[in-house]
Amino acid sequence: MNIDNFKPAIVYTIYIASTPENVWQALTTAEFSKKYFSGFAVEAELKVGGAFVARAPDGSVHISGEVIECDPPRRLTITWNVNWPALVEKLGPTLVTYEIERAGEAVKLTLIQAHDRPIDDDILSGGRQGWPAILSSLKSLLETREALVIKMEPPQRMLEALKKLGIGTP
Amino acid sequence: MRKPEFVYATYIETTPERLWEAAQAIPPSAPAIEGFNGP
Repeated sequence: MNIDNFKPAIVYTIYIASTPENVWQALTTAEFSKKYFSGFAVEAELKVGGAFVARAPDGSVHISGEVIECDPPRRLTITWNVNWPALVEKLGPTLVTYEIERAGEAVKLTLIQAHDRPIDDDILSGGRQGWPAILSSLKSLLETREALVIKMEPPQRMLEALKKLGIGTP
Repeated sequence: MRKPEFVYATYIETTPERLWEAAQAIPPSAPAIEGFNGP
């Protein structure tokens, strides 16, 4: 896969009072992810070509992908494919990059969601709603040891756009 | 209104009222951000 073909569709930056090592650990281990990411357990084989999976609380695979770039604790790029019927076939793979930089005594975390083709705004509304919640909760967890409790449903406009494309949703 | 080019959201464990108050008077414990005065 040539990642040069992927263009950023969503870029989200947040500053966290933490260390790059702790942010990296929070992004790559189930111990942390289950607390800030709606109970999803991240399992990452941290080498190029390694497997990346996020399991739902019932053990089913919700997101699956492959590690494309791995430079701990600075940069992680993975394919991030939601396991909904026909999604990857219709929309192509999704690429997610986490960039971690020191910013004074804090850490600057940047999330980049990229695609190799134009994606409709209605479909991107899911990520635009979800990423700020996930990363705000990660920030709270690292800074206060308590993740946020955020109740949200997928955007209706996203569900309707996926349905029009014949992509199944739970 | 022009089409937005940049939108930023964050989630904070607080109430709308407390957030509003904080926007009026930044508490002394707020993180120090030096060298940036806005666009």
